[in-house]
Amino acid sequence: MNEQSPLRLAMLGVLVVGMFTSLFARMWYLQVVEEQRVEAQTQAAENLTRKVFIDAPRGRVLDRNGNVLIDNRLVNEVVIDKFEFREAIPSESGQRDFAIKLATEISAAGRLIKAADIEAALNDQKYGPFDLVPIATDVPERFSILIGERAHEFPGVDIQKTTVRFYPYGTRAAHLLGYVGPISEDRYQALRTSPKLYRRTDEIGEAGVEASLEDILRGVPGEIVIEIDSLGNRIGEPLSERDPVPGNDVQLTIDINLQALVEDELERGVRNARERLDDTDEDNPVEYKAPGGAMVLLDPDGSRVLAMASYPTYDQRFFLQTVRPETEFAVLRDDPAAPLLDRASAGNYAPGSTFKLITAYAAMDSGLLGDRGFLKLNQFLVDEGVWKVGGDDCFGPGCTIENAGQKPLGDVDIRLAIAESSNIYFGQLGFQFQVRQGFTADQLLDVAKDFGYVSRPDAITGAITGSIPPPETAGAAANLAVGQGLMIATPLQIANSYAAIANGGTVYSPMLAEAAIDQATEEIVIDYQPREINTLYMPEEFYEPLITGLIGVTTDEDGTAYEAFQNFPLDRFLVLGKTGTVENPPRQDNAAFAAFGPWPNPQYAAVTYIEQAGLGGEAAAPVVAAVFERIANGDIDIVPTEAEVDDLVSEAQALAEEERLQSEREAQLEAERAAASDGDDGSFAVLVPGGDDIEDRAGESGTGETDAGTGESGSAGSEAPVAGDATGLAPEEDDEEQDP
Amino acid sequence: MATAMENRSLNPRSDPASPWWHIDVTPLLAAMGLGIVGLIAIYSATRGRDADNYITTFIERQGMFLVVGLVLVVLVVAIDYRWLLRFAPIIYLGTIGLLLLLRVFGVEGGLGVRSWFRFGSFLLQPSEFGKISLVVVFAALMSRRTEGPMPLSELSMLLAVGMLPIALVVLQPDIGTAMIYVAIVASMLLVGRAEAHHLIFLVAVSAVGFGLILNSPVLEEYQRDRLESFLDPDATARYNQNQAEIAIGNGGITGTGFGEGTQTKSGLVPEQQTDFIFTVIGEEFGFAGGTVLLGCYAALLWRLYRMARLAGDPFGAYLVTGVFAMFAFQMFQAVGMTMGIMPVTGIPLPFVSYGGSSALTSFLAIAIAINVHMRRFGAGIDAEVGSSSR
Repeated sequence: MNEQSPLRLAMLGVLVVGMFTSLFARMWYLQVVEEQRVEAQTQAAENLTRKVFIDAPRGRVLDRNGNVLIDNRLVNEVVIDKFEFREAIPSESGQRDFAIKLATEISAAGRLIKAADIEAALNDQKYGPFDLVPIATDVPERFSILIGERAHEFPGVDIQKTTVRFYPYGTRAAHLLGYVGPISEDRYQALRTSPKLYRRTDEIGEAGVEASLEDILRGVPGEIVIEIDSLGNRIGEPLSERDPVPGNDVQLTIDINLQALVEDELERGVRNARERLDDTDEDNPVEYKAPGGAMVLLDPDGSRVLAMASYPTYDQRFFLQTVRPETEFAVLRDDPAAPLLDRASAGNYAPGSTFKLITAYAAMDSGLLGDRGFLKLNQFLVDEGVWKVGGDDCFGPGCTIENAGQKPLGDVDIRLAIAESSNIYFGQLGFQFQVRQGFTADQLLDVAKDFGYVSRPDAITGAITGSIPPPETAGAAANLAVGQGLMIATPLQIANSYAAIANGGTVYSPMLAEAAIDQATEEIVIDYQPREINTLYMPEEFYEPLITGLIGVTTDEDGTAYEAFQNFPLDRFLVLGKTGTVENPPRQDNAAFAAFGPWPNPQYAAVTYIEQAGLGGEAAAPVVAAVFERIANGDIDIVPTEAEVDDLVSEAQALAEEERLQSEREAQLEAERAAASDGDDGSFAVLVPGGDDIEDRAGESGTGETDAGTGESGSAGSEAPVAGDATGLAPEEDDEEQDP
Repeated sequence: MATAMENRSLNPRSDPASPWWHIDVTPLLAAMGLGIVGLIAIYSATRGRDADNYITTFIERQGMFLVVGLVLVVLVVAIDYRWLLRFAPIIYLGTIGLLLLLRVFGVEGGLGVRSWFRFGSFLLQPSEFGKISLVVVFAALMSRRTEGPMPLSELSMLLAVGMLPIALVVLQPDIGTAMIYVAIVASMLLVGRAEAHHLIFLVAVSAVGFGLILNSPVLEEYQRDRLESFLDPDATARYNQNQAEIAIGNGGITGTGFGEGTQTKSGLVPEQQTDFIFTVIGEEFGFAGGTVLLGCYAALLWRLYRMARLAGDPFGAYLVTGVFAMFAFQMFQAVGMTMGIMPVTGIPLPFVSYGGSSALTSFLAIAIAINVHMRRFGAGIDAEVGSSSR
């Protein structure tokens, strides 16, 4: 070849020289150039270690008296080692069969889960190829036993202990307490630099207190840095260790007993409303739909939320499931009754006549009611029941203002206008704000904002801001003055404004957390103080007409809530209130009632708001009256926890069982005696009345005992009926989950 | 005379007419140097973590392979390479037969690759030996023409002969080895005076063919990922390469020292004793160690180049050219992929990586080259073999 193709061989040689050159150059770049080398060396050092996280327990949530509202519970969790599982079952069809089999077994053990949800979890991108994927929590012990026995059938499946949230009072305060759920990718990205060290697989507060107090409740996970070998196995002692820091407990302003009372009375109020007839169309009366409502109970001192309820409600335990069944969630989310909506803080409502108090104050404060205003402070206006706004210059809807039922109220001053809810009087004020020289509707708007409207209470994550569009026409201004039209406020905002009146003019931002408490030392870490957002100018000459008017609502025979408070111990517990009947076309009127008491030292401010329920005085005021009456009488039941309820039920059952055995024994004795005498079918005859006897005895033992039951044995009987109701809820929820 | 004859037979190195007089052992020395570097690296990669009880199985076996390889060299060198000319068709058909049998009796390795026969505790990889067969059959076919450029008919025949084993190896699927086959074929066609425009046309066709293969179901998902990850560095499949680069960078100029490579110890780089063995050398012996290793290859390839140029006949020249191309591309691929300048397609680093088939093939290859070189003046041998083969 030396004569044949030396050139071609040389070309190959040159190519090889080029190869060596590039290899050397690359080696130089990687190993000698400093930046590159240092970067590689740093990374190499990191590669040898791995961080293992230890979850920190989340803080508990307590009520103002220290009752635990949200606790942690150690449960079994089914996890799948993704790597092991994929190694064992590489094929997609095999994985599907596996999911079906696993879902069947877990469901059979008592925790319902769908195969599709297991598959979805296994394919969730947030779990890396070597992660443990949680599939189901709170799985009964018998499933652990099954997995232990048949491990080879379920490769990669394991049971580990984990803590989940636990609600001792069941579904009580569901909207208020909220729930935790898997962190979304967006939130994870936003919280990456948080000192709380969030990970993609963490849970985070999604609603209610769990969300708004996330920072307090969440602990900081512990971290162990270990050295690993090529298989990922741990070698030797940990290089560094940091213990998890548990989250702080939170003490709420809520009183669980009041909360339960408010919830029950609200529900009763809504149900009662549904039975009343809407005779707006006299020829064709229909029942009120009353799809839902809300009630708020505040302590006017600092606007502490004592109770806040929304109806209908939901079972927050639904959200405890590791893999959230999407279809069930969609059903809950899309339910037209909106059980997930917290109507108290996020209900989209017009305040109706409850807003007149704000208009009244705005008129006095601005001078519209005063010596140089439209009317003197105590001057009367003739209320004819119907008023055409601004005479003939006004066009379109909203130009006619009428009282409920077009009832003429005659001469009204500010006090009577409040007591009897004169739309004519307040409509005039709104109109005058808009048209009168030197006044503007913005003054009314500003006062509303001073009272806390159009602002979001920061204590409650899901709360809405509300809105008051500035009125552009005289008709709109007149409507705004009576709380109608386009204004949006929440029951919480209404209650908060009444709390401000009750305490003499200090507006607070509603407060839900009383203190953050260290779990271990029980020391108070943060002592929350009421947050004042405004102090209103409230001289006696402004205050007196407002108070007198509000007293008239419940005490005057013509007062709009007189009937609701007729049998109320007003002498001991004077309630001041204001009704609202909110036009809501094309739907039925909403009913509202805002109140506080006992005057002169108000300790409670309350609002009840029921959708499509008719007159405020008839549908909403009785709910407030019922709650206040129990408070006035000091007759507030102590709510048992579900565990206590279970104890009570089993105690009652044990008692009944004993009774039954006793009567059986007696029956037997009697039968024996009968047999001794004539020897015929005596035993059959005696057994039946024996059964009746049990129930009678159980009932008797209940009513016979003391009322102040705390769940101890003495009060067992008295709580039994309540217990029956409460437990009735829980199993039903479970049944619903079972529906495929 | 009689004494001279005796002397000649007793010590061939003393007789200029004997092929042993012309033997060049430099490639063998380079190979042994590489083999020793390999043993050290394999030991570091495989000894495990238990200092009281290091695993020596790998280096024992590799040491044995090296010794067997040396014996093989002695045996092969003793027989005139021109015998290969006669046996070329059998060697080729035998290789094809083995590659076909592999599809039936082969042992399935990780990721469904069928590249090995099992003999007791040994795995035999026919595609390694196939490289030599390919070189031999190409050399045999090309040496039939003594002058002038390669006619199209010959080129077509050669391509057909080459494509068959390449296709079989691709189907195993073993892309790395197939790439070496392609490199051997291309280099030998180049040196065998294929027409420039034919070569350009072939390059164009194979570029298109490569694109088609990349998108065909022949490639397993992981292989496509690897090849594509080389083109697109963001792909997740770049992990191996990243870890390999970190390992090499971690070595710096002088290396972390024997047994001190953290990347090596953590096992984050896959196949450290075989395909990725350069990372061990790069990490533990640094730029210096890498330079020594590349130096050994440079010496080897330089001597092979020289042998190809000085070969006594076209058949020998083509044989050495094939061997030269095989070592050059294999070294470039195996080292280059650990540093991110070649795609990750696992092939062993000749003489260094752990593995019997690879070691024996490599020794066989230099034995053939030495054989060709020492018989470059070999009229006497022509009398032995040549007359019968021509």
